[in-house]
Amino acid sequence: MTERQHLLKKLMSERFAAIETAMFLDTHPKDKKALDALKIYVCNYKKLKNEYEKKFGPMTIFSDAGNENSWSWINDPWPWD
Amino acid sequence: MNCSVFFIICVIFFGDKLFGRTGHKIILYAIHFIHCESHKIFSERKIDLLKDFYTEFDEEAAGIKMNLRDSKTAAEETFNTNIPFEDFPLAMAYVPMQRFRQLYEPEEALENGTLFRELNLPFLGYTKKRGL
Repeated sequence: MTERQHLLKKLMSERFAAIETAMFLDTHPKDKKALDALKIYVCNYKKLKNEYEKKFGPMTIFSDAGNENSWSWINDPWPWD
Repeated sequence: MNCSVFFIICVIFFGDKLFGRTGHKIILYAIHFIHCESHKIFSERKIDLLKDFYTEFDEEAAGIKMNLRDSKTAAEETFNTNIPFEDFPLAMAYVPMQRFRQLYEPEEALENGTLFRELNLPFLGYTKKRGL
């Protein structure tokens, strides 16, 4: 597993945990433990996302990362590359 | 045993000389009757033994239960022993409220498709006993 894949997997995991917790909160909106856990997952997700985007470019066109003087979206390998 | 077999053979072959025609016929009939009765008793015992065997077997393999016993009785037994719901209203279901506990680490959660250990319920094709 490359560093990029490794980071991406960690990112996906945190995102998944956050979404799961959010769904739990739909039925338990006042659960303190779940609210705290969600904060941590979201925080981890944001940190990892920033790290990933610094190293490998923006994940979506709405990301902050990227050089403002050029269009970095096309720097990724294309699907057929 | 040998003695009685010998006696019966004697009666069959030489009976008419010893007892006369009619007497011989009566004795042959008696032997036939005894033979049939003993056979009946033996087959009844055989059925009993088979029943015992299948009842023992039954408890191990519940799947065959329905074929061997009256299905109605089997259903009643299941209902009475496993589910003490006799006084409950019909057609009501319940779902226990989930709690925020027994979490997986995020990476494990992604692999298992759920964050909650309690919701990781793979289909095994058989019933697990409660509490495991």
